[in-house]
Amino acid sequence: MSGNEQNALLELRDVWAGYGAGPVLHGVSLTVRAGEVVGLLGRNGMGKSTTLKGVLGLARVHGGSIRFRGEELTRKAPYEIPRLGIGYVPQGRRVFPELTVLENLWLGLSAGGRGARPEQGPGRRRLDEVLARFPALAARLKQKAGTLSGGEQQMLAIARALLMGPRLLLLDEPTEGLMPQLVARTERLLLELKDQGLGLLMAEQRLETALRLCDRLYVLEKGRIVWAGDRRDAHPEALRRALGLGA
Amino acid sequence: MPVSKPTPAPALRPRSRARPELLGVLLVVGLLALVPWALGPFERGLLLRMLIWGLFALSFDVVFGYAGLLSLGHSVYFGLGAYGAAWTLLALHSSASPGAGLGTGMALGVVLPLLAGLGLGGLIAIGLAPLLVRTGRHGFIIATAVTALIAFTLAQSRRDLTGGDDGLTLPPLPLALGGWRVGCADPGPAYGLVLLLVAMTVALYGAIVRGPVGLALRLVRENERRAEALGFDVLRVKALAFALGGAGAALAGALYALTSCHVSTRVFHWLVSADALIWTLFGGAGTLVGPLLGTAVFLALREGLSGLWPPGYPILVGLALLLTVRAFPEGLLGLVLGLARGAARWAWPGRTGRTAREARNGMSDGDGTGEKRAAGRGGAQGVRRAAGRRQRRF
Repeated sequence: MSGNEQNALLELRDVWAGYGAGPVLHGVSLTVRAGEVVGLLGRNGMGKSTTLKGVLGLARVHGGSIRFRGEELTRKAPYEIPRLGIGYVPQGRRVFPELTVLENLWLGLSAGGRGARPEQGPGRRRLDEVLARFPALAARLKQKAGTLSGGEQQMLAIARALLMGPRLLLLDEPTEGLMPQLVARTERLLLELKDQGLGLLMAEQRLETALRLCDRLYVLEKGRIVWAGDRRDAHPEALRRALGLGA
Repeated sequence: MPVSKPTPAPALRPRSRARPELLGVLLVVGLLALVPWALGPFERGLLLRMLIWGLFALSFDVVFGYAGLLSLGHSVYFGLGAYGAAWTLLALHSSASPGAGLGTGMALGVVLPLLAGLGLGGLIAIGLAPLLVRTGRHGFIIATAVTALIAFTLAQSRRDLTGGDDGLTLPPLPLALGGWRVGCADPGPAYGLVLLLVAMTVALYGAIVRGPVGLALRLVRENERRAEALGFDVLRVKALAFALGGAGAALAGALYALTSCHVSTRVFHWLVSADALIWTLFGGAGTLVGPLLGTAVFLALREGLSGLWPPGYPILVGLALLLTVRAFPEGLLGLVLGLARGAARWAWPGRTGRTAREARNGMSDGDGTGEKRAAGRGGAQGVRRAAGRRQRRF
């Protein structure tokens, strides 16, 4: 993978990270480039979410380097990281159920940290753009987010992340628990975002989803990358074995 | 993806829930403006204290209820406001000629001392805020208690400036309306000024906590990590809340000094902060009306019960508090809203309102930033992780 570093959006090198005492990640290295979807595959507890949270500064990084567009993230305060252009869609669609759709979106706008009030200027334009992409949300701005369907909540979580104007989107199992047609819709959306030049790094448990969406894959096993490569090179059987799924 | 049709401009301000409350507020302010003229001086004085201490409790609640920070040093800013006003008034009083007109009197005796008190307390709150909020959730309680201790000890040791336990006695306010000279025994016209300033401050706090800043405060209170993942600078949000609360406390302190005509070092004591905590919990934390209501009812209760049974009234007050907080965890406001909602349901079946707690916890979504459902993660690791993050509320 040498030679890719120039256009790498996100680059992790030998990252050790965790929460309390022991590290969860044992030397993870990976790259995400603009305009590609990278999958982080692994079973529960293998370090997928920890990798995402390490990038965001929400898990403690003990060693290694995490660079976003050449900038070292490990020494930055957690709140600065989203402002650099990294959107995060947490697992389980964490919208704020008691707030309206608009208030939820507003959090994404205001947090960009650009200082401007969201009513005016670029924030307003971005909101209109994002809402044009999500007509179902545009029609429900005044509704409490908790009353939305699971799929709509997922759209809201993605929309909120997009409002920050990110170049990189971190998604934690974005299609988990959605109905099949919503899964298809979410996947279409993610591919659209990719075509617009965003880099996407998604944690995923299901091999089929990952093979459909991702250009490149990393398989995590107990905090280490045990398989990395292009989707085209991926041998489903080998991956299945790496994931510990039968075989 | 082409943007085919721009969405009609949405109202971008967070949804306003103010309408019925605004009416209620206007009604209360109107009543408070009219009622005192029908009361005797003692009752007027009680109302005045309710307003000032209510403002103090509200400023405490901005820090405690909205930002989730328990500050035992809130009395420091009240005390600085009080002494800032007192020192200014004393300095100006000696220089003002006795025959000065009402305008000069107002400026020298009221406006400048108020500004000085607000400035002194507010600036020190702004200066200390970034340091104090860095101490972490539990450290913050201790650090703020220490600031109160330091302020109290310093004030005690400089009797020449503060008057120590005896305090400073201030000349009466130079307010005169229709030949009604104001003494501290009857704060008639001063009452109007205090009501105006308190109402304005409450309105300002209301605008702030219902706007973007309020949303940020609630987000930080409910889940700091998620706030950070959304790009909010948690320390800055907390410092802002602390400074806003400190400024309100300073204004309350300045009004207290000017209207009670006496201020002693007691105002710095951390127990004064504890009073605000009690009144806030009593009335309903994390709301605008709760602290005002709690303070008013508490002070009325204390007056009433101390007349009833002078030696033992603190026991009665304590019991009343305990029972209220035990039976109505959302405080008096929760009780009142609950009753109102019950009445509304009875009158118009099928419509429901929100409880104070629901309104307050609007941001709560279970746990938060990718905290996995521990079951999904399996293993002790996940459980430990989830447990480690659960301590975000006192």
